[in-house]
Amino acid sequence: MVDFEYSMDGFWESVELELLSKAIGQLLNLIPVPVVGALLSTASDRFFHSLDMLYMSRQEMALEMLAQTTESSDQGPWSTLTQPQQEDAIEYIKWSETSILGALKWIFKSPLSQFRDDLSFEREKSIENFKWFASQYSALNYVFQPLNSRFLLARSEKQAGIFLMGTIPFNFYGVITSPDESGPPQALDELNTGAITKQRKWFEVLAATVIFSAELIPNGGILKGAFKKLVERNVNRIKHWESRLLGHFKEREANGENLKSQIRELESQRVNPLDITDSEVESLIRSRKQALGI
Amino acid sequence: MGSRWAIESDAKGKPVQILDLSQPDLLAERSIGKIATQIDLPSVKKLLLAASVSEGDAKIAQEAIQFIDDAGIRAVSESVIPKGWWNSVLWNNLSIASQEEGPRSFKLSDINWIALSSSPVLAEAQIQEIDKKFGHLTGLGIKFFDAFRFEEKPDGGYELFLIPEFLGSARSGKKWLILNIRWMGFGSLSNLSC
Repeated sequence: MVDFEYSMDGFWESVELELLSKAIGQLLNLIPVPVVGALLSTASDRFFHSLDMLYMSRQEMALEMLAQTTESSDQGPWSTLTQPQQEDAIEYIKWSETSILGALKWIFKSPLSQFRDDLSFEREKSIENFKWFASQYSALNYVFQPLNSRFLLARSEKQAGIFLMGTIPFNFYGVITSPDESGPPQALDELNTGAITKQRKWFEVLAATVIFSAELIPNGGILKGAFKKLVERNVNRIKHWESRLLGHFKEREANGENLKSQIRELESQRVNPLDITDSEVESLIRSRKQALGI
Repeated sequence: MGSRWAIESDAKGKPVQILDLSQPDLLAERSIGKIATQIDLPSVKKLLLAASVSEGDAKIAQEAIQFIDDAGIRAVSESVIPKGWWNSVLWNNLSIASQEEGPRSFKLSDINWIALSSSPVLAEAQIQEIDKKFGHLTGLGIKFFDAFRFEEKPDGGYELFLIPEFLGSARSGKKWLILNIRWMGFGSLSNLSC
């Protein structure tokens, strides 16, 4: 996940996978039979999408650990690393998340500076979102429990769950927002268990069907491009936030809290066929620790 | 370190790598997508509009919505999967080719898509190039499309599976999709801690 000796390895590996995906896309352009192009294109797209989401979920969890460690100095989950090592890890992971085109942005700002700016932005948004909750409090009688500066457990009669406080209000299909849609997005819905997962499953079928259909229509790339760039990107964005929350919960659970049901719910909301369940993860980690003698 | 990570240190105790012990091996067959028989165009339009928060995004969304409203999209509005689609395919698998009905299940390697391409020579050359440049990443390259199987569902749609035969290289110890993750190299690691 992080290599302290070869700091750019993560980026180059990410670039190689991106180039592979593009090379396969070019190959598909040579196929004039639409239905064959559609079958191959759908397989390629869904595979690379799931793989990308798998890696991003792990990277976002690690970045959340580094954010918590940065905020709590010696008490954070990755506090066994020294300050320079934490910074190296941040740089490595941020580079690993970078696309070929995206690398241009690091000319103007280092990944570490970006990480610090992001944390600062998230703190500002959290304050704004807390104010929003305060303004709603009297009307909806919310009970709050901040988990950290990015996540808030809020419960009222009409709405209960975990809210993503460090991001902008996000009104989008598949994302439950506050009642008047001006508050922070909700990552877990305690009153409607399974509702977000159901929407996500529906969305995955829609995405595969759009990708397949786009190959059968002349100039279907317009539809595919817009769907990937606008719609799927936004769903991915909220899933990345949920990965951070999952990482946060896993650490709290390791410290003795019982969060099984919340973790199970967040895992099911990923709807990533390449990923594994919490119990499978635990079994995998146990067997690997045993194999490694740790 | 934490609930799912480990640090590898050198002989002097200096951290060399952080490993993610939760990274799956992906050795089991799994469904990675479903193609429905109908495309829910009103929902697609609604999603495009909801996602277009900036001016640039709004332009892209409007173009796509216009495109959906144009005649082209009607070609798939009744049924996404064309009737008799298998007749336009050149099959490697003769048992599928001889069927009058569409296949219930098929692998992409059952389709001779290289022969169907506009330039089989160029397609072959590109595959070789992909294999040469990227084969080390995953053992993909030339075998990439062998890794997928489609299965017809009772409603006429198709489910897409990633199949384990393709993933066999991981079992033999070959590096398989460990992007950013050093787990597979654990055999050479020494000082590990959690």
